[in-house]
Amino acid sequence: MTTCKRYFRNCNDFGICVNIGKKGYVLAEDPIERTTIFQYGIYGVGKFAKIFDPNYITFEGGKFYDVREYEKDNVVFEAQDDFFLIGFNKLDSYDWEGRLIDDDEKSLDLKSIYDQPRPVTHRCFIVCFDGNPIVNDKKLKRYDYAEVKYPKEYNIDLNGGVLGFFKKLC
Amino acid sequence: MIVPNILFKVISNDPINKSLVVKYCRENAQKFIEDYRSYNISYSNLDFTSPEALVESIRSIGTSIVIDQLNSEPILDENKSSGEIHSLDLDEYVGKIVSVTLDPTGDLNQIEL
Repeated sequence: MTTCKRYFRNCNDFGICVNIGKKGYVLAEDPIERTTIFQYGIYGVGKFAKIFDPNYITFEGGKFYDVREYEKDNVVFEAQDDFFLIGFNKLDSYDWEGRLIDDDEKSLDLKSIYDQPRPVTHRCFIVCFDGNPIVNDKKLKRYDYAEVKYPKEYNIDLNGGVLGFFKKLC
Repeated sequence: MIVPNILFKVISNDPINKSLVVKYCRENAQKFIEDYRSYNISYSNLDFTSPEALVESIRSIGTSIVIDQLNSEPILDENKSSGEIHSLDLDEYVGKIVSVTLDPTGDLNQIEL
């Protein structure tokens, strides 16, 4: 029998859903529960698509996916291998942008976001997806998160880990 | 958290002030219930609609007390953690005591940077 452990963790601004399962597992989500807008694969491979849509994307371990176009849709995932997926979910109507922090990104560039002629009200967060990245000398672990605020500076050492950067477009 | 079975013992009843003095402990406690501290409970916190409801209301007050008792029990020196192990190699865990904190909230862990 194929199985999957699913759980959800949240803060007031966003949620993290986690799916850890076996090869062959099929997961379907309806528009009400489909609030995932970014996805990161810790390991495994699986096909993901809107239901009845022949076009699919393949989730692979170690990669980050922008799945905003699948929000509030009927979607299906089929695991081609044992898998561990982490989803970034929105909890309200605000839009988000998201990406992984690059290996060569030794500090966060918040100036380009906030140093604008008109005040910017976006809020930015970092989320640890894997490993133990070090930010301002603090070692993070999976599911740790922090709101990062301009003009404070944030020095980053990914330390082999994976850190997501998310901007809430307020 | 799984709540253990609870024992309570009414030490005294004060109808004039409408209160009880009660001791609580978990059913499998390793001390006598007499050795635990007493709590004063107002009748206003109790449900007198039936005997079952009365017992349930006394139990309900005791749940957090018993969980606090459990959490405040001292750690035996022999059970103290050997420290954090960050490894997928099971051999590194052999013979060591690992302390794991349960996060019952389901919330993400916010870090101040």
